[in-house]
Amino acid sequence: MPTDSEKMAVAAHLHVLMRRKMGRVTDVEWLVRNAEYAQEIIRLACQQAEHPEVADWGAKLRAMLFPRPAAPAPAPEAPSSGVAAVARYVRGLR
Amino acid sequence: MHLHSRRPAATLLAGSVFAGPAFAAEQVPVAQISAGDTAWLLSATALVLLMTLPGLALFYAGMVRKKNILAVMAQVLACAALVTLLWFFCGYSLAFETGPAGLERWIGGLGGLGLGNVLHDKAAGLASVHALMPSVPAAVFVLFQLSFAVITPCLIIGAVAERMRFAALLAFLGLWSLIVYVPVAHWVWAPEGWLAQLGALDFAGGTVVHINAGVAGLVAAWMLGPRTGFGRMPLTPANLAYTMVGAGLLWVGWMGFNGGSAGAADGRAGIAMLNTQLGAAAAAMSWMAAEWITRRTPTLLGLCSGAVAGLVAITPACGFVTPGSSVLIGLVAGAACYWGATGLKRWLRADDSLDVFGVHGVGGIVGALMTGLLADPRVGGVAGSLGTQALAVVATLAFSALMTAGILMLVHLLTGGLRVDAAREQQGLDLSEHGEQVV
Repeated sequence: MPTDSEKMAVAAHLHVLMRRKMGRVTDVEWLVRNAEYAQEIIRLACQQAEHPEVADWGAKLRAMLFPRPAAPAPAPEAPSSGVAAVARYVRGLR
Repeated sequence: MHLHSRRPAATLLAGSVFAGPAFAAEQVPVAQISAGDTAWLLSATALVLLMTLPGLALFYAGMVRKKNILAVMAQVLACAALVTLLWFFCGYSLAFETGPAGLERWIGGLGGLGLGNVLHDKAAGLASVHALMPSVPAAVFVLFQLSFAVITPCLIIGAVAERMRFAALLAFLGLWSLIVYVPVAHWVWAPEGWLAQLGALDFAGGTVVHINAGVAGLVAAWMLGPRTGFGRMPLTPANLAYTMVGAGLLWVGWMGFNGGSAGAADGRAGIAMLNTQLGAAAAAMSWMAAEWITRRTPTLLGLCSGAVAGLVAITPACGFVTPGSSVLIGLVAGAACYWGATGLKRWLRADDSLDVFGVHGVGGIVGALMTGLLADPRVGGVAGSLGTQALAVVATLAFSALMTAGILMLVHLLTGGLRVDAAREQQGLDLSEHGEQVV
């Protein structure tokens, strides 16, 4: 789970790129604190086909602020044939 | 080692009664030696030795737990070396030299102590030969028989694996080779032996080697008691790949075991080898089928075990039966030995660790009895007798069981105990008996 410092760092990097490439000024601290503001800025950043680095950092910020839920854990396997094989060596080899 | 391809049994019997003992080593001109027969017997001997080193060692090592791999290999190697020296000293003589008057049916004599009558005189152009293989030098005959004397006690190691003290095991196997193996070999293979004179058929050692070792292993397993945890926890084989490699060496080596017992590079050797291959293959299939039906899973261990069971069963028969009979013997042996290593084993309540009785004992009994039923005079010159074969089986079972028990009791007294203690058994014999381990 990324820390606030790490989120601020990525948000700051995106802020610099958007200012240089697009001329857009953002509020870095508000990006990290406000989900709606962050989602809108990220949406604008990811639309920048002519500035792929802006889109990349937008995606990174999205991954940090809005991580996808973990895939459900796989169901426990049925007892493997290895267990059955070990069980057969209890009263003899064969 | 058979008798009947050289002379009919009646002639041998007549010779032993009227012509006096004439089966010890004698010297002949080297020109009388057959280069072909000698070359084949030399090769066959090497094949049989390969069955023990490293065939049997690998076969067994793969089936024990990892902490006992090196111990089992050390036991096989040490036994092979020990029996070699005992054979040199007196074993060969007591098995194959003429016995003292009145006792010649039961044991050989001391005329070959230290192999003193096995000679090769280059200057005089003479070489010793034995009457049982007159076309090869006696040295080759002695060595070929040695390879059988070596593997037989080594088989017993499988029954007592993972719990017997190394010193006690060596003492037991050394005494067993002289007190049990040598007399039975004399009874069956020496022409004056009492079972040979009754017409018992054992081409290459189904009785002498396999029934003998099988029942000895069973008795030893009973007397030692089960391994710690037997019946309660899995005693998982370390590496069945070793076992398969060992089984392969046994299978190929058995070509020498059975083919060499013809005593010559001839058609009899050829039929013996063909029958050997057929018996092994049929038994591997029938064991596999039995396992597949009862357990829904064909295993590598089952295939290896079935092949060995077939090789055991065909051993007494290979020089006396047709190829078709060999297939039948193999099919029966595979299923019978599968039962021997499973249902019969549980009924006997002995922790025969690696199923020596189930495979070698049961397989040898099946082979001996079926030889009595299926021996074809066109192949081996003699017909079989189920009754005589049964007598040979019972006599060997009884003698081997009783003498094995007696030797173990003696060794127990002399060495202070047969088993390692519980802590050493838990640690594993590799470390506790040999200070070594597989990493």
